[in-house]
Amino acid sequence: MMQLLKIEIFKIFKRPRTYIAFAVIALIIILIQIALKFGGKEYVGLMMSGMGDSFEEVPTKIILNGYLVCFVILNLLLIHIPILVALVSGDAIAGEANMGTLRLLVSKPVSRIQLLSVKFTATVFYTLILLIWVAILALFLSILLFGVNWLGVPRELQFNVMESDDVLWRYALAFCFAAIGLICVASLAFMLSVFSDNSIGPIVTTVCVIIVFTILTQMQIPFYDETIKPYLFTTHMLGWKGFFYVKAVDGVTEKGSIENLSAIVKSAAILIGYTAAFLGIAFWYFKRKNILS
Amino acid sequence: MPSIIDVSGLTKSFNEITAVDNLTFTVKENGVYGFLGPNGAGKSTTIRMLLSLITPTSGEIRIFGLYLSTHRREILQRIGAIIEKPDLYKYLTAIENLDLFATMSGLKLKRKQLMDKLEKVGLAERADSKIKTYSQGMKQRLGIAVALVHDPDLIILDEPMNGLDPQGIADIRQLISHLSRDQGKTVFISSHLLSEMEQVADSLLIIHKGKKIAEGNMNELLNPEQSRIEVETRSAKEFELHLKQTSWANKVISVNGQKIIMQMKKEEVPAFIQQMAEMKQDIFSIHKKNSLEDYFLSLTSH
Repeated sequence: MMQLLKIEIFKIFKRPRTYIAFAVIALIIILIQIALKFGGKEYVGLMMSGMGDSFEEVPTKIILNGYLVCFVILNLLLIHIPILVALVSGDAIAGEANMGTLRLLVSKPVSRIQLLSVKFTATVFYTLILLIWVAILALFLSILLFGVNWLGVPRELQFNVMESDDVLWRYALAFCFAAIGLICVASLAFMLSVFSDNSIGPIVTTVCVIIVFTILTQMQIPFYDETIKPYLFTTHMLGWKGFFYVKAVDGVTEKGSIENLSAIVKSAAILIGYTAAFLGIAFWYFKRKNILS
Repeated sequence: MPSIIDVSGLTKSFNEITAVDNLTFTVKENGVYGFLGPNGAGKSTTIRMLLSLITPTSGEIRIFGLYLSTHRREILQRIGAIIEKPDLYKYLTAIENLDLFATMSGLKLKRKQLMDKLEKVGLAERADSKIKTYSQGMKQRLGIAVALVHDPDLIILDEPMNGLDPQGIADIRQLISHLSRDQGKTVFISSHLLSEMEQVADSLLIIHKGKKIAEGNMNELLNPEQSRIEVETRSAKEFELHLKQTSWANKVISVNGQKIIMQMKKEEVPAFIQQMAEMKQDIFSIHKKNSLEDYFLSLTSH
């Protein structure tokens, strides 16, 4: 099994297209960091507008530190990284069918369940490596460039403030949560890949699903709040932000607190449920699939 | 001789189309078994069922005496196959491709062992070149190296000569003979190139519209004792009138334009030519017509 997994990972990282995602992420993050380095004051001013006078005296360089830059980057990126994840996971089976290698793989003395398992595990491995790449650039490079200080996270007309020694563990958990969200997207693209003999279809379909669901998630229409949003996986993918929403007593942040841990756990459970359902369908179908490609 | 493949009542339907219809055949150990049929006859579907790529609608497949439905892994461990085009990973080198498929067959080969296998198909010098730089013939040879990397007992080749130049076809023909005669492998091969099949196959299975229409030893099927000959003359009808005055009249099968088809023993042909010469009948040419192609067309053209 390990040998097969090594083969799959080897194949993923031998393809030039695999590195597109790494290059795109590096480009976007570095562009954001450059923008905040040179235009951070205006950005912070914009962020503070409407927050009252309490933060007016705080120098920009204290507010605009590595932790806030990372939060800004994740807020912008975590909804778009799934598209990059779909590039590889949507190609996992359909790409083999398209190349004509699927029939060769399936005619080898390896069970279809085993084959699909190592392919999905390799996809998860790629997704995690991509996320680690985001963490290195968004968190550690930002810390290097902007330093650390307390983190102020803007929320509807208020700030959640966390002391600098109360932040890193939150990012660790936020990245773990993001991994669950991205694996959920990977499993959707992977499932669609099993149904197709051409990788364009599953990749484009996954991207379309993400775009439509994200629009629905962000729509401020009360009717959708109860009827559709709770069932969309994109709604729950935003659960990572919950680690930065803290409890406050008389305006003072309770160190080490999380405002609504159960909501985060519920979102994670829903994402895992979606992943299980997508994989269940993929395995069920692939075991019976006639390989005609 | 024990049988390697036993197929019984094999049927595959795709919705309302029956691609393979109640097919039964046996492939004996050792030798080259040719699998023929026109396009859409169900050859590829049958081969894919033998390799468990497609699940049969009904029927049974036993290979090496084991049921494919229950012993898939053990069976596939002993089969090497090329299915249609030998598509491999274009972004990998030849040696990487070979190593990858050897590993999938449960082998861990060293570079030297892999190089030896590439050497056998004449690709050692290009071992580290990416497949995307390979010609069709080189890809085909690499496909064969991949199929043989785990030293299988049964080799299944679906159209292995497609897209090859005459030298490539000759190489494949030689390799098939070598595998069968020198190494004692059983080769199950489908091809459109009937003249090639005639040269390499010992036995034949011909299917048409998913059904078996002929099976047996090549010599029995083509019946060399009873040659079909095509005689080209000035006017076949006039020629036939003269024939009716002789005992050759009952050997006539068909008359068309300038050509007349007759069936007779090979030993009778010189006497026939001599008698026609004595009767001053012009014969422009005379051809033996019991090639595999003629036989195949006679079975499948209606």
